[in-house]
Amino acid sequence: MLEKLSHILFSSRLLLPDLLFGVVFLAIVATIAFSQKLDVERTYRLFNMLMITVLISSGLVFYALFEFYKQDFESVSALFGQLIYLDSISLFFKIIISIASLAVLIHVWVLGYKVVGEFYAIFMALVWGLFIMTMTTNWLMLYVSLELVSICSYILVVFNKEKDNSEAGIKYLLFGATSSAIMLYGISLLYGMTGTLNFVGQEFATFLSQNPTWIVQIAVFMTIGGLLFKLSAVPFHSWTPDVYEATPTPIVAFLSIAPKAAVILVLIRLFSSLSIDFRMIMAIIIMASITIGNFSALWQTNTKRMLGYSTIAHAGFMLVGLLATNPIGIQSTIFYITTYLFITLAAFLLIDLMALKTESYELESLRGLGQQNTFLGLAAVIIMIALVGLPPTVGFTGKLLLFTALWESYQSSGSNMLLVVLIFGLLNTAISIFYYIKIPYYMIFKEPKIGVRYYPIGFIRNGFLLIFLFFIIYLFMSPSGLINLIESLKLA
Amino acid sequence: MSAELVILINILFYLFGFSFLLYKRNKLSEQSIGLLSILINFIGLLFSMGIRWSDISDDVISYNWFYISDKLFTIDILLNDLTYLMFFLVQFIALWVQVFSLKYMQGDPSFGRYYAYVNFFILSMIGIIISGNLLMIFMFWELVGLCSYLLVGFWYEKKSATNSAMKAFLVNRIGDIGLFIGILLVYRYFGTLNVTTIVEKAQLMSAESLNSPIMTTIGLLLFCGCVAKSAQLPLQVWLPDAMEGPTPVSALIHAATMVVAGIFLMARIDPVLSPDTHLVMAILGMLTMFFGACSALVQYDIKKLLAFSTISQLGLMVVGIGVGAVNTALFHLVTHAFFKAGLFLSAGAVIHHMQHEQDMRKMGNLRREIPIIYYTFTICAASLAGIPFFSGFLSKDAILVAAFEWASHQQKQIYFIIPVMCLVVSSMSAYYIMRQVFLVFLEREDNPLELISSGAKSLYKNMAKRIEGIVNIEEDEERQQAEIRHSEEDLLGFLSKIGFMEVSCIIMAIASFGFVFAVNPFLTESSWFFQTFHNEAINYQWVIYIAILVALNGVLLGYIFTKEESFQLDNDEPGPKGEIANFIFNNYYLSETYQKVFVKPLLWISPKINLFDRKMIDGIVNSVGNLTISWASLNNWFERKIIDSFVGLVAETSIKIGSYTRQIQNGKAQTYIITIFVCLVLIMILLMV
Repeated sequence: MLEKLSHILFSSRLLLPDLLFGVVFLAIVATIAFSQKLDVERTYRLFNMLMITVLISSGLVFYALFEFYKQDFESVSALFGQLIYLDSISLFFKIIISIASLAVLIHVWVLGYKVVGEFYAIFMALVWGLFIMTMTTNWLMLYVSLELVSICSYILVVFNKEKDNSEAGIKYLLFGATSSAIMLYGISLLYGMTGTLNFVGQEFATFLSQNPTWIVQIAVFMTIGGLLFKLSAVPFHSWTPDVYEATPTPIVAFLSIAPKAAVILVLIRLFSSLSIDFRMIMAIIIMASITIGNFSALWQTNTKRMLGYSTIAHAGFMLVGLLATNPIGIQSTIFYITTYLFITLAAFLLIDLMALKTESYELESLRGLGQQNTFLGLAAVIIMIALVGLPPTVGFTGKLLLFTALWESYQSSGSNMLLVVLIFGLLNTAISIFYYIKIPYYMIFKEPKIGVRYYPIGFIRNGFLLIFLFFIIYLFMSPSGLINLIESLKLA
Repeated sequence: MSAELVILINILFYLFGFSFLLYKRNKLSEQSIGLLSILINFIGLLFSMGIRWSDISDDVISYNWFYISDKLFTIDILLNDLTYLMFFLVQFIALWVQVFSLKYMQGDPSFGRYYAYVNFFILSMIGIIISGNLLMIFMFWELVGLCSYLLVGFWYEKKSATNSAMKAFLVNRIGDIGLFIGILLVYRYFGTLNVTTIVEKAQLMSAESLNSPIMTTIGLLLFCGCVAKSAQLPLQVWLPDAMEGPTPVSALIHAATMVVAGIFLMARIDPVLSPDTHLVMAILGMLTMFFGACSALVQYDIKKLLAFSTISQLGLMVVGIGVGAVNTALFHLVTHAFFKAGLFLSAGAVIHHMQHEQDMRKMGNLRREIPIIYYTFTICAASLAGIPFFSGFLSKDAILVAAFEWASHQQKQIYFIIPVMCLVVSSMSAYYIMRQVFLVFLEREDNPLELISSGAKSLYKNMAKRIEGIVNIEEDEERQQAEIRHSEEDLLGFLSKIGFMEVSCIIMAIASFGFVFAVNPFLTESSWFFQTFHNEAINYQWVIYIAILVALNGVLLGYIFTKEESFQLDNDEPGPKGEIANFIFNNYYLSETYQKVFVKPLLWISPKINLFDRKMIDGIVNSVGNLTISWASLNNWFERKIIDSFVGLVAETSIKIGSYTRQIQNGKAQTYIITIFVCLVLIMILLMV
């Protein structure tokens, strides 16, 4: 008993920065609930500052822990009776998520979005859920954290209380509920086969391999359905464009990276302990995601919707590294996610800034914007090139590493399927140029419409965008630091 | 904070200053521009002093830069005493020049651009100083050349200014070619560009291999860069013309810092230089020194005279390195930087006072109008002339001593010509600077001895009165009060005349005193400089006394002859009377000769070459081009008919596929969910088959 108690105490101590999120969540909720007449503007600014502070400080704590774990290679802390694993890779992903949330909060703040106070509480809970997701190897814990993230996301999507939002929110909810149901069904099947909830343990692998392969494959596919839903990979992608179009841009930017990063980590953990060959289904998912995302994006005239489809395609690319099933594949996936963090946040910030200037998300309204504002034009070129994956941006480095890993895996295994995926990915990258380049093309080469009034942007917003641009270029110039960091990561 | 970090931050500051000021040059007010720039410089100065205290010495910090195949090129930062010294010196002088410019450049429409360039110059100069490999030195070398070009041609509306800037730039290019070839040869021979490694390797060489023709070639080629940048014969023609730039710039770039970069480079790589190179340097330096001093003797332009004097002093430093007294030459570099900057700044104040009149014949009697400048100029001039108690005396005579010692070790007596010429030039410099002081500041009938004695007398009287007042403290307090009030008013009146210009001049003048450098103003060894840097020459101390005599003699002669000359000055004549004097006045017609020998033939032949190029080479190129065009049109046809239709097919297909995939996305939630289940079932079927 005493031993268990001390274990719980020890566990809580290591999770203090995460627990802080719970405390802040409660504090914000209490403040909103128990104070009637607040100076709305000031309170929300206070919340914003509070959250930014919390995120920065917890990010720093994660970093400190991360350094600690990196030095002490073998040390993995199994907390709360193996419900939660704290290791260097989860800390790394927590840092990524912290950066993303920080950027989104600053985005909200800088762009002057009017949000209600509950936004901050919900957002906090969402980030908390993601943190737990990065640390768990237990089906139950995974499901709980996934639901925490999902429910918070539903609420964030409908926050504006307009018709579009509600429609998108309902779709999102129905779709999410279906995915969750499928996932729960899959988990129950897996539990029935193995009798354990911990999916990285030895028993899980042993018992799993005693069952017929195709049944296990179907069960695993159903189980990861919930994860693929978060990742917006085919066939769980359909909600993406509608939600992306209707939801405020900062939230979309957040949804396009943070949950995906956490889900990818879970998938990395799962596939590294899976004792069956799952590559076939993965290859189908990847090719379908990339193709559907890219081809549908060709038709879009709304920039936000277009980026929505683009994230579907990118979800496919994220999975490519997992398909390679070698350490380099995993490392390049992590690298890809880290770089995609900057690229996607920059992309959404860019279209938000352009929308601020033209008051529209339509492609047509971008005519000649780059001539009028050179900085935005230049930024659009850089970001879109990064999304395509061409030098001199970090998008190129990420894709290069992914395809290299896939090629090596093909060399060693000789599986033709991998080669097909590789060629498919390359072809799709070429196709994606069509629609990504449309944005800078409209901005720079099309004649501006006469009599259009542009709104000024301001120095701080440009500076904020410039930070992302800096990273996009800088990580291309010297990616070695980040790569070394990722190579030092150790799976639990 | 480590020293290299401090230096890098420092450089970043200047980079920020440059870009920010250039970007905002028309938007900020003069005050804020000046304040920002001076603040940056002041912080840099504090940094440089901070480094001196932290105890890191003889450190090379290397960062990998790039590879060419497997050859690694690095960014090296060399930190030794020389680096620290120059790092401080450049920023110190730059600070006061910037303070001076606040007043001098006041009201100039391009005020912001001026300060931006100055920041950029300091940045590049620091770059040369901290660079630990020849490639970096060369890059920053070019950058200071660029700054010099920009600042000489600062008033680009003036035709003469742009011409001078062009001339300075082109002449420097000639030297740079030599320097660059020299650097390449060094790389070929030593396999590295790192200065420390090269020096170590050179020190390990035997005497014969050091004196081999290849080493002499390397040394001479490297010296080429020094010849151009430090204005040695025969490339010194650009420096007098460079005086077209603003006077503070002349003080900073063309007297104190940039032109000594050549000397600095030679000092850095001294062990590489072979004895033959040393000899060539000594002879060339001697000639430069002599001819520069001759030209200075007859100038009427206040700045040109100082420019020729700079050439002459640079020659002296080259002689110092040539005779193997590197540290002594560096010592002269330091003292020269202060007093020449002081001279230029004072001259700038004079020019400012005279509403941009630079002809000395139209000046005179300024002693009463701008007394502070008079004192500062005289102090710096005394330092240049080599009068005891001033800094110039210490360093100049140290070089003299070294030269004598060197000559005594040579086999032939003929080498004694070099120290003797040093003495002669020393006397000449005393002469011309006295002439300048006389023409600019003194009344034509003033007698400096009387001035000094009357000054001393009044000082003595004042002192006596004070002492009397202290002794008879009870007696007439009223009178004493009045006197104090009177003297306070005097002091306030004096202080109220001190503006930005005067402060800068005063600082430079103070730095020109001997006690700043040595406790005993007669004994060079006692200087702190030689406690850090090893002094090469210690014998032949008797030379110093001769030097004093020579210098005083020069001053006296200068006074007498100039007084004579001042009665028959002709203000309208462009040059002096007499053919030889005219020859010297025009810098030996060197520029004109270059014009005739190099530029004219080039201008003659270039249209011919142009014609040839257009008729023959262009013809060939054109026919090749025509062929290509016809081939390309063939290709074009192929492209349009065959490949484009293929691409079009692909594009159409993708658009069709896109429209199909999009159709699934019809906005109905139930369709979406059905899609999932259909996919699930499909995958099940796929797996079971």
